Amino acid sequence: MYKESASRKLVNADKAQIKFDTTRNVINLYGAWLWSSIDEELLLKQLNEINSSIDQGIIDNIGSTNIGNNSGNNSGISKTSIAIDGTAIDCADTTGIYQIVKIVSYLQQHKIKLLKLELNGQEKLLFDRILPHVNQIEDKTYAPAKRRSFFSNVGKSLFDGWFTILDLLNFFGQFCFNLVRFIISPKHLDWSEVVRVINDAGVKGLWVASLLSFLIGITLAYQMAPQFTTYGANVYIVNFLGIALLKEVSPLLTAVIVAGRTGAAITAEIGTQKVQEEIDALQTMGISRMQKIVLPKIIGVMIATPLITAIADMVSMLGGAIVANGSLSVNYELFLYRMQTYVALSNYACGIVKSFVFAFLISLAGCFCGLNVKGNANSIGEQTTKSVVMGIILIVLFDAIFAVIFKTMGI
Amino acid sequence: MVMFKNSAKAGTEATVVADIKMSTDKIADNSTNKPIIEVRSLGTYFSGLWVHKNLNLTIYPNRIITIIGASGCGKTTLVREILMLQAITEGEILLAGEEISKYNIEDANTKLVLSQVGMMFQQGALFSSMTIIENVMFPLQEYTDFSKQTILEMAILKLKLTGLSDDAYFKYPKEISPGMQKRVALARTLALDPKVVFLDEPTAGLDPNSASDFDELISNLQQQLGLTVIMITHDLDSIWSISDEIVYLGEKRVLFHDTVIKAAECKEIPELYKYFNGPRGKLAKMARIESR
Repeated sequence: MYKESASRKLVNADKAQIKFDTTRNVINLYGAWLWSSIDEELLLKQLNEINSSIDQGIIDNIGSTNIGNNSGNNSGISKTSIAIDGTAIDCADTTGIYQIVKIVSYLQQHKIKLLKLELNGQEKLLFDRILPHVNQIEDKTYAPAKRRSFFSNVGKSLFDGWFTILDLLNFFGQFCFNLVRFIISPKHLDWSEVVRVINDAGVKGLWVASLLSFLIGITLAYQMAPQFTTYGANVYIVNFLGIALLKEVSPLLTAVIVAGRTGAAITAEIGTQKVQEEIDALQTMGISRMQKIVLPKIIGVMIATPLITAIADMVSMLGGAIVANGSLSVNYELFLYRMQTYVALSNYACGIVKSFVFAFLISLAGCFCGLNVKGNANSIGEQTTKSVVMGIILIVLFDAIFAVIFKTMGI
Repeated sequence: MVMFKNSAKAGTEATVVADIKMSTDKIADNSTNKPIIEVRSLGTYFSGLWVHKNLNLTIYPNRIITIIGASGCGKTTLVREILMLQAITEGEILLAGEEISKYNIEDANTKLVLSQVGMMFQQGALFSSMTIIENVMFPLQEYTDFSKQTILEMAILKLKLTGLSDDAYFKYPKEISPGMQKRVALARTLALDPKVVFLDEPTAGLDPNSASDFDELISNLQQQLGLTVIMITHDLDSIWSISDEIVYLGEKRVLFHDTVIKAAECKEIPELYKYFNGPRGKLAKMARIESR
């Protein structure tokens, strides 16, 4: 887009031009020698034309005077000598001056001797200023950073992963230590911070969690409906939904939403505080960052998440009930009756217990990654991504562990 | 396309150019009295208060102007408004005779207007994902159709102008010192040869040696490239050593606009007098007189 507009500007400003005056052997420069009005290719084309016309002139000259014996050995000496007249230039910037330097070096490369370079006062000052620097430009080419080999990458990420796990365990240990301190003297906890987190994670996240759970409830019931009707087992939709939604889907879904919303927000917030050295300021006052930053967040999220999960449970069952009523002819009354009779309370309790643990894992990962932010703003983005990924992995991992535990306990 | 095959060759060949005699019979007279920036009855209102009210400022080209004033008096806001980073409430701002408030920031033409001005931010604002050389190449790549080699050489030229050593070119901004970061930021600002350069606290956070080197660099570049430099600074040493004019902001408008010496002697504005004749101001003034 910018290039287009730059070329549009060319219409207004005269393009940088080179013209060769054959009678005086002078190259005249015209136009505006600005970055916006220089066409490198045009200049090269004009230079090549000048060069070939000079060559032509020499050959003609040789032809007319008939001195043919030294046509082959002029490699060391210059073909001809010319002058550059830049006094007709409208204006020039560093790019323009640089191009003039390039013209000069082109002439030297083609063995044309330059007698004189005339420039106006302002351009001459610029030329004098720039020339010593141009002479210093060495042959720099792009040197992309060395890439590690495949195996070295694999090894590095493996070790990184292992150290992250160790660090996370270390962080968990610190947290437990501080938790005990908090339980002994709870007055230091910043309760207003806890309330703020509950508001951010719970109240503001409620509608997303509810909407998604409702839709999942509808989808699940709708997908399973044909199976139940095939066997004439319409009423069993209630048992199915009761176990699937309450025990598994709602807690998991809510936890993923909380990880995406709140986990990321916690990391970004702590990361910003870290970059602005707020956390270092706390340390210098001898206040534990765990006590001031981490604990309120974890407690807040652990209060908010089970509450959202409870509401998500209800809303998803409502979605299921609507589908059961519509396409399975299980009316609401029957639905509620079957739920009371056949869906054990333990399913619901399992879901809520899980959501407590999920909330803890999400906020722990969020705080851990936030405190891992180093130095610059880039790091905040990296750690936020890491926080969400870590949160979701931990959630699914512990969900699997819970499945085994509940199975052995016989719930 | 590349005019010559490799630039190392060009470098050695161009050395010869220095010997060429140049005629200086015609010296261009650039001291036209056309202002480059005009701010007319500017008003800025946000979050319940007027930051500027009826502010008038005319800036002529080819000099170093320092904007001073108490913290929070709207120095940076004024600069941001001239750069179209912030909307104005009333009045008008003319950049090289063109009213800028009619431009939309996303409009391609705006970019061209903006390419006439450059801003060096306080923290450098270098793109952290790019190397030093890529940072300087970036504006040239966006605006021009030059070959990659030319752009690379142009960027090296700009970095050389700001006195950055070769070994830093392929490093990332976080790997170099703050003083060097400022030089890179200046090189990037100069990449498109702007006519006006804004500098926000150019010497803040630099040690005294680097700060005075940087002052010298600004002054040299201003003269050699014919720039109009507008800087915001609290560094009295830089004000005394390189500033041509002082713009004092106070009471939501420009209270004083004249040379440094006159600013130091202006008793009509007690705050300004205190600024230059307080303990720090006196020291800076004395140092300046001594060095002269």
